[in-house]
Amino acid sequence: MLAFLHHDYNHAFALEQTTIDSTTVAMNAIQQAGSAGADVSELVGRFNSAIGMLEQAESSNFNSCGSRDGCVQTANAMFVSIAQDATVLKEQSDMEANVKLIVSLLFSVLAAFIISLLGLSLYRLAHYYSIRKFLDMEIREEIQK
Amino acid sequence: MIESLPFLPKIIEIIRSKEFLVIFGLSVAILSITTINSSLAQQSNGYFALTTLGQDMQADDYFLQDDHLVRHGDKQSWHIAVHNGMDNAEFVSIRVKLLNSTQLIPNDSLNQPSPEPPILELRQMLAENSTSTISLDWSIKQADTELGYVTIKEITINGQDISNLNIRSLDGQNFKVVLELWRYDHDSNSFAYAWSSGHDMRSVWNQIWFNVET
Repeated sequence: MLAFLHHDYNHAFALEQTTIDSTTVAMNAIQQAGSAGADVSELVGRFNSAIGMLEQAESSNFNSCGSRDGCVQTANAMFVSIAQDATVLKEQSDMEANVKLIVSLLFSVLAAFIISLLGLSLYRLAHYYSIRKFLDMEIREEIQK
Repeated sequence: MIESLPFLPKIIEIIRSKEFLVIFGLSVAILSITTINSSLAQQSNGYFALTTLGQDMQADDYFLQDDHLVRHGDKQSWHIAVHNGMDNAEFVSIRVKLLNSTQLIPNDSLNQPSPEPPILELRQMLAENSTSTISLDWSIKQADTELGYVTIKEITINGQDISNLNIRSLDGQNFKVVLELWRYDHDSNSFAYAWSSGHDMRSVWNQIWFNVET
């Protein structure tokens, strides 16, 4: 009997520790995906469903799962799945962000080229017209003399 | 072909000039730095908002009776709205505490929670810039009167019976439900009552007073 109780206690402790670990892993994965710019609202909804199962296990008020162990194991499986999906989402967001950055940099180079060309052309045109105006003034002076 | 574009030799001359190379180089540097800076995530001073609403989702009509009076069995239907204004998804815990008038409420200046234990904890993850509304239906299941004191012994919250409370108050006056928002802290791997926002520490909580008639 004692051995059974000891085993049951160890089992419960191991399950609890696994749940804490998997909750933390899933939460970190969601936050990393969120930091990368991914839309994590669907993952947050699933995370809350898993938390709801843990609350059912804690209060022994079972609605969507049959028993304490059943609730905890389902929640654990959900946390693992959430963490995996969040990692994929983060990688996709990172890749999209990199592509976006490269495209933005290419546009920056193009914009810089156009700005430089237009700026220098306008400067030279203005300089040309100012010299021509100056030269025209000198010619008029010559004619007046 | 080139003859049909009379400005082309001029443009080529401009592009080959030293001035163009200098201006182009500077423009590329400035625009690239601006682009990279804007693509980096910016840390802002985030916040949480906690609001307790009555049965009509308004900050009113919290109780079935007038004068904040709660009778045995009266079911209060409240809604707790939590808004996450932080820069990322956040895991939060709403801790519900039942206190009498002499028990300590959270300390705003020290950002400390009430020292009393919670009677219920509601955990929720919130996406960035989102609001979640959590229902809080509660009623007094058992309250006794003795020597002028009303003692709340058992309440039901969201269908869950919470017993062994023993919160007592003279004439049943000035009980309060305190709702504290705790945020998951990655450094300590546990929920923390206060969090840093810029140079300050912040915390958020609500309280609603009520009287009990047995």
